[in-house]
Formats: sequence, C-alpha cells, structure tokens
Amino acid sequence: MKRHLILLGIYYRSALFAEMEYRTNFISSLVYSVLWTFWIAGGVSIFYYHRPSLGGWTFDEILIVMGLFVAFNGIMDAVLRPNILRLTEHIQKGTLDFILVKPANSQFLATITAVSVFKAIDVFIGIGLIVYGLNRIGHVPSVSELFLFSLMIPSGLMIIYSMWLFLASLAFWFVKIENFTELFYTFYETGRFPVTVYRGWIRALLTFVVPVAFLTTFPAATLMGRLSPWYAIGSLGMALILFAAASRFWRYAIRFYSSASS
Amino acid sequence: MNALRKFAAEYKAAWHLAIEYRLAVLIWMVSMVLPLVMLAGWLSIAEGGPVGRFGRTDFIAYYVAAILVRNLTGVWIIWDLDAAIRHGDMSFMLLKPYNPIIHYVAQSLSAKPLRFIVLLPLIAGVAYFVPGVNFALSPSMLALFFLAIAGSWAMLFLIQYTNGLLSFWISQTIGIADMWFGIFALFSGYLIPLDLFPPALRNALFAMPFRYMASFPIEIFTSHLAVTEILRGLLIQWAWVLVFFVVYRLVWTRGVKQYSAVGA
Repeated sequence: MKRHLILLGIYYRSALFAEMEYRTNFISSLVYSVLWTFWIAGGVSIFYYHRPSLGGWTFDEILIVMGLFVAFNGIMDAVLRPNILRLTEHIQKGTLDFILVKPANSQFLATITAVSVFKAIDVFIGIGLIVYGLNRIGHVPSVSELFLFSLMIPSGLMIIYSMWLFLASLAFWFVKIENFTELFYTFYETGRFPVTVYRGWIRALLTFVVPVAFLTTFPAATLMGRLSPWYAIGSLGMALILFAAASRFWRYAIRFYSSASS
Repeated sequence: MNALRKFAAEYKAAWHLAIEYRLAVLIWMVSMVLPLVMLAGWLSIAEGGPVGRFGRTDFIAYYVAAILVRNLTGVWIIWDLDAAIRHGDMSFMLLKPYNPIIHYVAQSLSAKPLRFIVLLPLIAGVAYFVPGVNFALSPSMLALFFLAIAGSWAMLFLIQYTNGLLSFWISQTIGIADMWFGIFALFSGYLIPLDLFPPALRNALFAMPFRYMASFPIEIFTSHLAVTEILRGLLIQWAWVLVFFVVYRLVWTRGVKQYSAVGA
C-alpha cells in the first residue's frame, strides 16, 4: 500500500513537470473552468427566475450540489479519463504488456497513474463553490457534519472509480471503448441537480444502480445537516461493494487480453 | 452538376463509414442527455402549475423536438478539420479537383438518416401516448420544418467550419468551439426555451442569429408558429446563412494563401 502511494507520487510529479512545460495551458484551463462554472450556474439560475426552489433546494443551497458536481468532474477529467484513453490505446496496439510485466499491481498501474494535472483546477473551483454556498445560506457545518462529509467524499471517489473501472474492463472485448465511457458522463450529467428533482424509477436508478446521488446530493445535504448519519455509512458500504465488484471484473476481463505478439 | 456528382461520391463513402460505426452513433445519441436533464428540472417545477406558456406536456413536446432538431442539425466535424490542417492532410485535399468543404459537408450529413430513423419511434411514441402533444405532422408543415432544419444545419455547419479554418493561424480552435457550444446551448433554445428567459434577453436573442439555430425549427415542430410567421422566419434564417457563407469565403481564401505560404 505504502509502496503504491510512493509510486503514485512519482508518477504524478513527473506528469506535473511535463505539464509545466506548457504553462500557458494553465491559464487557458483556468479561464475555461471558470467560464464553464458560470455556464452551469447560469443554466440553473433560469429555474430560479420562475420559482424560488427546485426540488426543494434554493439557489444558494444548489450551489453546494453544483460545487460537488464540478469537483468530481475535475477528478474524472484529471485522472479517470486520461487513464482510460491510455488503456484503450494499449489494448488496441497490444502494448499493455509493458504495464503487465511491471512489478506492481496492474490495476493500479493501468487505471490511476496517468494524470492531466491542470484539469484538477475544477476541484478547487468546486470547493470554492461549496464554501460560497455555505456562506450564503449562513450555515457553519458542525464537527460531526464535517466528519460524515469527509467519509462521503472518499466513498464518492471510490464509486466513480469503480464505475469507470467497470467500463474500462469492457475494453478487452470492445476495443473502441471511448464511446462507452461517454455513457458514464451521461449519467453523471444528472448530478448537476439534486436527486429530488427526478421522479420515480429515474430517482431509484440514480440512487441505487448508477449512484450519482451519492456523489453530489447526499454529501451536500449532509454538509447542510439535513441527512441522517446512515447515509454516510450507506455511502461507504456502496463504495466498498462497487469497488470489490469492479476489481473482480477487471481481473476477469484482463484474461481476455491478447497482446500484439501472442 | 459536376460538384453534385463529387458530393454524391463523397457522401457514399461517408455513409458507409457511418454504417460501419453505427453503434458509436447510437451511443453518441444516447449521451445527448442534457435536454432530458433540463426537462426533468422543468417537470419538477411545473408540478406547481404551468411556467409561462409551458405546462408539463408542453415541456415534454419541446424537449423531444429539441432532441430531434439537435440530431438533425448537429455538426461534429471540427476535430477532423483541425487535425487535417495541423497534420498537413489538408494539402492532399487541396490537390483534389474540388473544394474540401464538400468532403466535410458529406461527413457532417452522413449519419443524419440513421439518427432520424432511430428517433422516429420516440417521436411517434410521444405523439401517440402523451395526451396533449401536438406535433406539426401535416405534409406542408413538415416541408417547412425540413427547410428550417436545413437552414439551422447550414448556419451551424458554416460557423463550425469557419471556426475550424482558424487552425490555419492558431492552435486553440477546439477550445473556441467548446466555448461556442456553451453559448449556443444556452441561447439557441436547445437547452432552455427562449420564451422562458427574461423578456429583454428573449427579445435580444430573437434579433440575433441564435433563435434560428435551434429554437425556430423546434417552434415549428411543436405547432407554435403560423405559416406566415414560418415563412418570415425562413427568410431571416437563410439571410443569416448567406452572411455566414460570406464570412466562410473570406476566411477560406485568406487561410489557404497563408497555408501554402508556409510551404506545407
């Protein structure tokens, strides 16, 4: 575990150095992220032009949901997407061997060691939005709320990682996988609104099958002191189950890999 | 006539590619989820009574029409165009005895029949099963609708193509296209019905080209416009097409000169 963390540090540091070569990209990424955030907020504000609340959330409250949406999106763009692109390339060209023969866990090497550092700007913008939203509703989270929130964020990360790992594993059968990963974005897009906006089976789907609700709505409600602690525990349980299942599926799928020479 | 024959050949090739990648086309269609997310938002709000002229059924009809219009008018060629210019493939296209735009027009239109066929059951289902939905399905209205669709597509195509041609000078063309999509999505009626904006903003958007890129055909399809309004709209829309065409010609002639100057 510790060795892997050190390895991850080395990989990310060299990625950072590589990106520092193109410093102007940092500025354009920053401008892009800020504009994009305003775009999301602008699109939602039209609802509040007509009504004071959307799915039971005021505009200030929904800013917290949006902050989580932007932050998790940053993680997906910075870490998950580059890895999937690299993985599918390896599978297409049959060069995954170079990863498989390295003396470390192949799932670790193949699925989180690539990173686009500048895309992580969204994480900071998201945190900024959350703080701003809390400030506007005048709520200071208590220690227990912060504790539960800090349980839900790693759970959320594990949930997205597991969904992506599942989709990435499909690459061993369907070589062109880029399109499949778009499907996860499709579901993720729903997370820009609180899950209470959706009705009936769609809400159930977004809570239990593709648990987007655990990424944005539940952590936001927890931070505002609106949810019972059981949600944090449920979120952790959901994350562990999905992670175990996805890792198993990865190990099964990798057996179908055929390299270029064999 | 000659150009038409060349277009037909290019189109045939592009169509075969679209068929080859039909699963990808389907997945791209399914991922077009933003209008549905907005629809969910409006439906949840409309539970407390209609919003402006929109009740629950009106919202459903509007966003189904928006999905249809987006699929028939969407243009996704800039990645290819940008790569062709930067990697030098454009040089080979320039050697061919016709303007490269013909290739990209064919590429942009290649999957349209496929998308249309896939969407037919959705349109039919909503028209049949959702009471109160009134799509403009008479032959004459459909003819006008497809003229408006063609106009919206032409505007979006010329804008994206001209944007892509900027790769002759700069390397951030895709970034500009992303930002343009953001502006388009918010202000064309694709994600938000223009009538729900504050009146001043709505009127401004009606005076600008935005309405004619998505809202106008959606309004026709949801039976919101009378024939005279449609004819007037078509006139304005095709005038905008002409404007964007002139801009494209200006950028193209300058760009090609610049390109050969570098010796690529």
